[in-house]
Amino acid sequence: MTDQRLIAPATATGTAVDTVARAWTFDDLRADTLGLRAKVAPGARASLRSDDAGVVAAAMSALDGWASEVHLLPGDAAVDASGTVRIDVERSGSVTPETAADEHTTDWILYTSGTTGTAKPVRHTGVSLARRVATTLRAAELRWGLLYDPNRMAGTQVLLQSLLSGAYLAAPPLDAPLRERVRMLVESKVNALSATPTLWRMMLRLPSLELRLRQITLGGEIADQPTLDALRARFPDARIVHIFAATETGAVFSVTDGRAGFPIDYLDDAAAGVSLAVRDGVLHVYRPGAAEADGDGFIATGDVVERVGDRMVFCGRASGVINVGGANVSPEAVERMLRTHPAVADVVVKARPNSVTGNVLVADVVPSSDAEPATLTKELRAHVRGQAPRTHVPASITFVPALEVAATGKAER
Amino acid sequence: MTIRDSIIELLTELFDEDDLEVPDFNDDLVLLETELDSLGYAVLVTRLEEQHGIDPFSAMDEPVYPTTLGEFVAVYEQHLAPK
Repeated sequence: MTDQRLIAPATATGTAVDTVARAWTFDDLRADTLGLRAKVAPGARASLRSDDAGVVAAAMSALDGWASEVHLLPGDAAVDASGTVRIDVERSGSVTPETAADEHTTDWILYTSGTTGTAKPVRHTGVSLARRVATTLRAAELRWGLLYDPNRMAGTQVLLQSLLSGAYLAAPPLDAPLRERVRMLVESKVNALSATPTLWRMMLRLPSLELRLRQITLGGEIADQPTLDALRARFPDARIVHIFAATETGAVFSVTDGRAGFPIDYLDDAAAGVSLAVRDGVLHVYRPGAAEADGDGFIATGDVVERVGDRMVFCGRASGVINVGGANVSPEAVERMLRTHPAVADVVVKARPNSVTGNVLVADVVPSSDAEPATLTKELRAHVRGQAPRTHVPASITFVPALEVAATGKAER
Repeated sequence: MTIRDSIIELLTELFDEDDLEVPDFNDDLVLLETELDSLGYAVLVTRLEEQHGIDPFSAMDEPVYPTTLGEFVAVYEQHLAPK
């Protein structure tokens, strides 16, 4: 079974995935205790719908190199996986066929979160999924926590990082409040955690964040300097990494120097391990052969970048630009300005249709103090006006106790 | 508070925020002759929508462009009046 990539090292022992339902040991995963190979014929196409990280890990361990393709269906998305064997984990047997399978290269199909409502399938291989996983001795000693859906790219990466390096993973229920999930991570002595900048800012506001983190990963949204600085101050001994990834391209590169954006050197040939280009202000990634690629093999990521000194910094999504009275405004840029104000713990800026200017900006602000709303609104508008054209100033500001967070961990826009 | 009061209060706030000279609010005041520009006007309409749940200008079939404060107030009065 030379093609099997998504499996823990033979030396790994103890608990692999710790969930409320059960603790899965590395032996459980290697032994296919769910009997998945008895349900899915070698070379067959299968689909799995489970938000249980242990079940997803069991499917990866049993079916990579066995099935021809496996669809990981996110719980909330309507997707068409007709023609596949649906793996029903409730009726798990214990029969394992004794015949060795033919070798298969397994395609893993993940679904995008799809801001438009339709989940789009994206095909990966075990090789491409495992590409960014570090399997050093140090990696095996980490104790990871999972705050993402294991069926989504971000969660799959955390799951594989722990599984392939033989490390422990605690996976609290996805639907539990963040405070409760963090409490479970503390109890499990988690010391490595991956989350979106929005989730990190929420965690930094928790009254007690008793985690002793050695590894901090940020992804899925722009990692801005105030957030990176706050994490550095709170966890001085942690390695802080922000990764850039898209479902279409997988993880592309990571940055470990604690500074927002990435060094301009990354634009030189493959300094980041992948060829990058900036076209019309939008970051492109070299992925020849990909369906979305241009003639010369580059895919547009949709992320607008700008050079600031020796860095390229992320400005926001090209598709998210808001037209206010004829001026193009990046809501992310306004969020960054507002976040530098001491009274702002977090913020999301959105468009609202307006009969005068087409759109205006409105902001949901999580205040860090109990300042009087009218006074703070005035102060925050003045704060933006001091740094940007008046089109960037939110017409209205609503104060909220917390931002709405999507299943992906990103702030809802 | 009448809709007129709340319009004048919001206008005062906006002029104040932008450090503009607050004009004398009367029905004949020509809005575009004040220092309020289209962005300020958009903010006014947004805040009125939040307070009263309606943007009468987007609800109109035939566009109306009020010139004076009196006409602007009348548009809101008309849309908020019980039918």
